[in-house]
Amino acid sequence: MDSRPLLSRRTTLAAGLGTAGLAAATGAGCSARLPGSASPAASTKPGSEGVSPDVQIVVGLVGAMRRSVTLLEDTRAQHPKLAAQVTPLLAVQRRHLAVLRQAAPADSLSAGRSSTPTVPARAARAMDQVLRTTEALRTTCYSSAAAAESGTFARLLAGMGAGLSQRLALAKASR
Amino acid sequence: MKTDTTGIDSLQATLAGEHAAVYVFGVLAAQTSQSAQPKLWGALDEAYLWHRAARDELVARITAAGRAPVAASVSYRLPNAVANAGQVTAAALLTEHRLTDVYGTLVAETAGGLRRWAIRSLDESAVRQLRFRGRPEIFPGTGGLGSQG
Repeated sequence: MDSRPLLSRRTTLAAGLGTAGLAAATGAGCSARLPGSASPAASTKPGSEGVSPDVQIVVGLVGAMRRSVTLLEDTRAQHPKLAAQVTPLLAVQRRHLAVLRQAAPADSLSAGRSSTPTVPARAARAMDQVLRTTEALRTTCYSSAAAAESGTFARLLAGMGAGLSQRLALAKASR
Repeated sequence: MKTDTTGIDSLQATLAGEHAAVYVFGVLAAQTSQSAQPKLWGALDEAYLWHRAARDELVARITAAGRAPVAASVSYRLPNAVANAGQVTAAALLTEHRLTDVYGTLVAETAGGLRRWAIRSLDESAVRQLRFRGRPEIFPGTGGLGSQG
């Protein structure tokens, strides 16, 4: 089984080296690890040479999760009656995002709000959009898990997708 | 059938888990009245059928790779006493939770099509926990990496 670092602290990841940062985020003492970048001096911008595929996965997922979290926050703000349904989905996505952000290169975390779709005026349509967005995020987690080089990282991403699946199942059952 | 040749030992470990799950869910369903507890019985029956199909899939993959699939034991110890519906549900949840972790391990130890199959299995197992009063987790199938949500 892969025993190399899974998720690094931001600075060490940017330097192309890795130590366990996931344990700090989850409090679970996990030391799952990612393969580091090819070169300590490599740029951390997505697509640049020297950035490991798994680091690129982290960057892409962070972007997708930020957009989804922003949409859910906007939806809850505009439709308070949906709070009971949206909050559990939002909570799990925030936890996932917090874990991944620790491993994302500093220059990939742009300041400012992520652009998101407009929240529909009707609550039912707004909730439909929340569910579709969360389902799309789950698909991204699973495809990323399939593509990940690190087996332990793949397991983490699959676990994220499964966490979303559980929440989606409960949300749909409560409608 | 094209089979990833890596991860055969992992497949065997997963098969061992499925042998146990098939046994346990079979016993739990037999202990449950379909008329008195239709919802529980339905969930147990569905779990039994799913795990049996997964077991057969694993046997086929291992055989296709030229190895002898690990055999099932004659019997398995149940996770807890199953004297009433509550205990049956608890035993089902514990068993399903264990298999979710088993598939998480399989995800970590495989690649390609086999990993994709493991991911789908992990997903279905995690969701099935909810039918046995399981609470949603932040990172199901990761061996306790996250906490319950």
